[in-house]
Amino acid sequence: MLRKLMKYELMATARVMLPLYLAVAALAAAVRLLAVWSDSVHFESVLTVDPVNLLLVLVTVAFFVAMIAVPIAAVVLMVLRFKTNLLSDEGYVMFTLPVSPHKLVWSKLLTSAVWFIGAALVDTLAVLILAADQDLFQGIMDFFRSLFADLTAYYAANGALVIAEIVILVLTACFCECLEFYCPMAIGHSFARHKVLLSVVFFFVIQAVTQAVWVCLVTAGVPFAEDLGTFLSSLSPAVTVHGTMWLSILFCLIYGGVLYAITIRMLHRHLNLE
Amino acid sequence: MNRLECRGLTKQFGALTALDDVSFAIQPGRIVGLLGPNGSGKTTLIKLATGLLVPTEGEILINDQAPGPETKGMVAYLPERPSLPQWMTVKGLQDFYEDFFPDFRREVSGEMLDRLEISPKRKYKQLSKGTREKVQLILTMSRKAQLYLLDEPIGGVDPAARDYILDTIIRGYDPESSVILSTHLIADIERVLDDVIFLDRGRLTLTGSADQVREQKGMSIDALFREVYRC
Repeated sequence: MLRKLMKYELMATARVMLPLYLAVAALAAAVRLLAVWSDSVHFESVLTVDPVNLLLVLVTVAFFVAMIAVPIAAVVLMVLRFKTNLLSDEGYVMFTLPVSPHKLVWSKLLTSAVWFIGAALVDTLAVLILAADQDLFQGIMDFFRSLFADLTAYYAANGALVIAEIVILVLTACFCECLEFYCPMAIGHSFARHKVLLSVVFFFVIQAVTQAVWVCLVTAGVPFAEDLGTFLSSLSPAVTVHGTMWLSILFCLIYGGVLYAITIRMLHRHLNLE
Repeated sequence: MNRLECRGLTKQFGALTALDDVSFAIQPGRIVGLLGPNGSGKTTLIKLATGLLVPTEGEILINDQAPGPETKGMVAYLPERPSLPQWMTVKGLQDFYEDFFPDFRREVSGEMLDRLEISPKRKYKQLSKGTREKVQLILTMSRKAQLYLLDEPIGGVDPAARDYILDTIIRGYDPESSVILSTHLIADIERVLDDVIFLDRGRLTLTGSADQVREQKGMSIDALFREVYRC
C-alpha cells in the first residue's frame, strides 16, 4: 500500500516539480547559448544596449530566480500537500483508505525527500550546464578522487562508508525537515478553530523547545568538557570522522523520532477534519 | 455477527458532548436511516465508525472489530461533502479506488457514469458541486462493501438525481451488506428504509424497524420526525 500511496503522491507533486526542473535546465542551456552567441555576434543597433546582451541579462535573471524557486517550491509543496491531502477535505478520503496513518505520513516523507534531493541535483546540473567544459568535468573528477584519497590516507576512513553515511544523514535530515512542519500542523489542526494560526504558533514553540533542550545539554556538558577533549584526542582520525557522522545521524533520528511520534499520535487520536 | 455495534458510545469535544452513551446494533442486510436535526451527532457517529474519530468512552465495532485499516477495507464511506483529490480526472479516481479497494467494481462505476453522462476524461475540480457529489457517490456505491456509511448522500443534488441515487442504493442491495443513511430529508428516503435510529443532542431517542415505528406511532417517519423535532 505504501507503494500505491507514493505513486499518487508523486503524480500529484510531479505536476509542479517536473516543469520547474525542466525550466531550470532549459534556462541554464539558454544562458549558455546566449553567452556564446553574444561573444561571437555584435549587432549594429540604434539602441544603446546590445539586444543579445539584454536578452542574456534577462534570461540569466530568470535562471537564478528559477534556481532559487526549485528548492523553495519543494518545501512549499511539502507543506501544502500535507495540509491539503491529510488535514483538509481530502483527509476524509485518505484517512478512510485501508492503510495506517504511518503509511500515509511515510508516503509524504519519502516523496518530499525525492523532490528535495531532486532539487539539489537539478540545481547542480544547471550550474554544470552553465560552466561545462572538458577541464571542469576533469577538475570535478580530480577533486573527488583526491578527496577520497585524502580521507583514506590521512583519516584512514573508508571512503565508501563515508558516502553511505552522507546518504543516510541527508535522508534523515530531509525527514526531520518535513516533520518540523508536519508536527505543528498536526497539532494546530486538532483544534476546532484558528488551525493555521495555531500551526504557526506550534512551529515556533517546537523550535523554542528544541533550542532550550540544546542549551540544557550543552550546559550540562560544560563540566565534562576537559575530559571530553582528552577522550576525543585519544581517538583515531577514522573513528572521529565516522563517529561524527553517526552522532549526527543519531541526533536526526532522535529529533525526527520525537516529532514523528507526536505527528502520528495527533493524526490517529486527535484528527479534527472540518 | 453485527455489521455495526455501539456499546455505551460517548464522544466529547472539550465541554461539548456530541454523543452520549449510545448503544445499538445493526444486522447484515438492513438499510438504516440515521435521523436527527443538525447537531444531533449523526456525522460524529459516522466518523467514529470510519475511524476518523476515536471514542471518549465506550466502543464501536465493525464486524466485531474496532475501526482500523482492516475495517476500513470493509466500509464504503461517503462523506458529507466532496472530498476526492481535486487534481485527478474521473478516470484517475476510478484507478485510485481500484488500487486501494479490492472490492471496487470498475464496470459498475462505468455504467453509472455513463447513465449520468459524466465523462471519465473530465477533471474532478472542473465539475459542478452536484456532479462531484454524484461522482463520489458512484465510486462509493461501486464497491461491494459490507457496510456503507452515507453521510447526507442526497443533500446537495437535484430531485431527479436524488431518485437515481436512491434507486442505486436499493439496486446495490445485498443481504450481506448494510447501509446507514444519515439525513434530515426523510420524506425522500423513507421508502427505502428498513430501520430507523433517531438521535437528539447526542442521545439515542428511538430505534426500531421503520414499519414497527410507523405502526406504533400511527404516522409516517417523516411526520414523526417533524413532530419530535418541532422548533
